[in-house]
Amino acid sequence: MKVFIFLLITFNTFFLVTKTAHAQLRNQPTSVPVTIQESLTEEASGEAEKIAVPQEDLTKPEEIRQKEEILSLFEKRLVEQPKPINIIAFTVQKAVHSGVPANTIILILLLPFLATGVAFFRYIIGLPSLEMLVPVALAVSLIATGLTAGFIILTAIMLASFVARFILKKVHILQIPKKALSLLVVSVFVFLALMGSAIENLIIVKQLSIFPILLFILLSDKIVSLQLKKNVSETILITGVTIVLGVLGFFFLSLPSIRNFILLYPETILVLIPVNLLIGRYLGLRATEFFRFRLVRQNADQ
Amino acid sequence: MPISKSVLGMNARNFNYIQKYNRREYIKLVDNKIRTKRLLLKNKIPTPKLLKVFRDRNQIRNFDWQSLPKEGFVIKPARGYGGEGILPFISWHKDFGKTPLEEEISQIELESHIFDILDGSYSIQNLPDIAYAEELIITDPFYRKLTKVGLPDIRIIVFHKIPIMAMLRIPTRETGGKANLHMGAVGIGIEIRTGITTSAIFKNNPIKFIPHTKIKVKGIKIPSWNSILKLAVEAQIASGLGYAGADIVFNAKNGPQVLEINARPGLAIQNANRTSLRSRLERVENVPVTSVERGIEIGKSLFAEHKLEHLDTGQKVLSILEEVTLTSNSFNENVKAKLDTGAYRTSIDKRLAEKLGITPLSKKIHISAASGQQERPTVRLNFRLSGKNISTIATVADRSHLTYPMIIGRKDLKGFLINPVPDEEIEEIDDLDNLE
Repeated sequence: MKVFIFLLITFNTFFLVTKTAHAQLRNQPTSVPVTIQESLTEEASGEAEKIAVPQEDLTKPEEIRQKEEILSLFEKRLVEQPKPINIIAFTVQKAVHSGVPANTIILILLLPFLATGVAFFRYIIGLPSLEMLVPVALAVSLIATGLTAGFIILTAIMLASFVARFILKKVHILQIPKKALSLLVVSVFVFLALMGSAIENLIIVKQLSIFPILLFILLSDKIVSLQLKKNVSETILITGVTIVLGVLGFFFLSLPSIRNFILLYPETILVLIPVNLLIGRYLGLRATEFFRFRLVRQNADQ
Repeated sequence: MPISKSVLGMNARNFNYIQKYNRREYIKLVDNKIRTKRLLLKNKIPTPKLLKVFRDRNQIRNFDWQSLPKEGFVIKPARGYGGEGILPFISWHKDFGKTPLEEEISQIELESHIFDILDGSYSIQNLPDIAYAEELIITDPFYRKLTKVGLPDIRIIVFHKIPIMAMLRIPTRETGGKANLHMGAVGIGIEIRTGITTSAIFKNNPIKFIPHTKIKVKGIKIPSWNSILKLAVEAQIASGLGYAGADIVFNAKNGPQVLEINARPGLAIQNANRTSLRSRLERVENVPVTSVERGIEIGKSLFAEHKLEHLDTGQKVLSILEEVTLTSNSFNENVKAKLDTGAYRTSIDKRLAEKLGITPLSKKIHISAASGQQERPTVRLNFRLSGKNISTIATVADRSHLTYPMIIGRKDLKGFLINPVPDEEIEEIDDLDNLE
C-alpha cells in the first residue's frame, strides 16, 4: 500500500514537471517564421490562463488561419518543379495544397521517429517498454487530449489496474473474462475521473474527443495483463518506462519547431534508415547492462 | 580473430548466437516441455516421468483424480516461461492435495488452475496451451542440505557439444521455491573442469554464504560432475539447437535428470561465474567436435580456472601398499595395508583387532583360502583409505607370521584404481630412463 501511494505521488510529480516543461518549451522563442511565432505567443498566454482558451487539438485538421500560416511556411522552401532531389518535399506540399490536412501529414511523418525512439530505448539504453504499440499510441493519445486530461485518465487507469490486480489475482476464472472484468474496473475508474474533473473544473471534458479516451482504456488492457503476469517491481518498471516514452513522444510530436521542420524537410525521415540499421547491428552492451554485469567487468579488468 | 573480453549482452546473444545457431523449429520444440520430454525419452536421456497430459476441457472433466500419485506430483503448463503456472503437490488425498507450503488445494481449485493453463494464462503470448502432470522430484539429500525450499538445479550452457559455463541455482524462501535468478534465487558459478563452485550472486550482489545457512558458496564439489556434463551435452545435441541451456535436477531416486532445455538461456550465469560468456564462445565458435566426450574434454581444458589448476580430477591410482587409518570408539591407528584384489573380504590381524578394542561379531564366515578351508570370526571395521571412509565386515585371522597386519579385499576397493607394480619397481624404470 505504501509503495502504491508513493507511486501515485511520483507519478503526479512527474506530471507537474512535464507540464511546466511543456509550458516553458512553448514559450521559448523558436526560429519559426514570424507569423507562427505570433500565434505561438497567443497560444502561450492562453495556456497561462488555463481552461479559458481551448487548446488546439493537433490531431484535428487545422483552421483556415493556421492553414494560411502553413502555406506561408512553405515559402521558406519553394519547390515548384519536382526534381529527384526534392520529390518528397514536392509531394508533401502538393498534398497540403490539394487539401490534405498538414496536421495529418505531420503526425504520419513523425510516427516512424517515435518507433525508432522505442527501438533506441530497448536496444541501446536497455529499458523494457510495452512493445511498440503502447508508447506510440500513448504519445498520440496525449496529443489529442492534452497533458492534463491525459494524466488524469492515466492516473485513473493506473489506480484501476492495481485494484484489478488485487481483486483478480484471487479469482480463479478463465483469462479473457478476467481481462473483460479488469476493463470494467478501468472503465468505471475513468468515468469517475472524468466526472470528478468536470465537477472540479480541472479540464473541459466537453472538448475531449472520445477516441483517445477509448484508446487509453484499451491500452490499459496491456497494463493489466502485465500486472497479472509479472511481479510488482517489474510492472512498475515496464509501465514507468512506457509512460516516460509516451510523454517524450508527446513532446516530440507537439514541438512547433519539429513539426514545421518535418513539413518543410520531409526527407529527414530517410535518416531513420541508417539509424535503425545501426541500432539493429549494435551488438555491444546496453547501457543498463553495464550496471547489471559490473561484477563480470570488474573481474575481466584485473 | 581477437577474442573479446567484454561481457555477452542481450543484443549480441540474440544476434550472434540465438538467431545464428538456433533454428526456429527447434526453439519451438524446446519451448514446449511435453515435446522436449518426448525428445529426451527418445534419445534415452533421463527426465522426470510424465504422468498425464491435459489437452482439452473434456480430459480434465473425465480424469480420474484418484489415480494421481499419493506421494505428490507437479502440474505445469507446456509452454509456460519463467516458472509461471507451476503448481507442485507434496501429497494427494483423493480430492485435495498439499503444496510444499502446506497449503491445501482442492480438486476443484486444481481443475480451475488447469483450465487457466489451457486458456493461456501462463504461456508466452497468452496463446492457448496444454497442461501436464509430472512426477514430483524428491531432491537428492546433497542438494537438500543447501536449501530447505524448492528444487535446486544446475544450468549448463552448451555450444556445439562443448560445455561453456555452469551454474548451480538455489531457490530461497523469497522465490517461493523457484530457481529463476531474477526472482531471487542464488546463482553459484561452477568451474567446468573440476565441478567445484567458485563464486555466487544473490539478487545481483556478491555473497559469501548461501542465505539462511552457514554453507560457503565457494568450494562445494558437485558429485558425479562428469555425468552431469555428459547429460547436458547430450541434451543439447538431442535438441537440435546449436546454443542451448540444459537444466539438470537431482532426483533422490533416479539421480541427475534433464528437466528442460532452454533456447534462450539467461545471461546472469556470467555474474555467478564472474566470467564473460562471449570470450568463451568466441574461442570455440569454429571448433569441430566429433563426440560428446571430446566436447567435454575441450570444455574442461579451455575453461579450466587458474585457481583450481592444482586439483586432480582423475581417479586416484593407489599402489599395492597404502596407509589406512583404522578408527574405533577409543582411538585411531595408522597401519600399512596391502591391497589384495585376489581376496574378497578385508582381513585384519587378531592382535590389532584386540588393540583397537573391537568386539567380534557373533557371525563367523567360511573362507576358502590357499591354505585350505577355514571358519573365521568377523568384526565391524571402520577405516579411511585415500580420503574415503569405508565401513565393512572384516574377518579376523592370526597374521603375526605375515608382513602386513591387514589386507583389503576387492569388496572394499570399489571405485579405486590399483597399480599392480610396487613403487620400488617404478623407480627402477625411472632410473633406466635416466641412463639413456
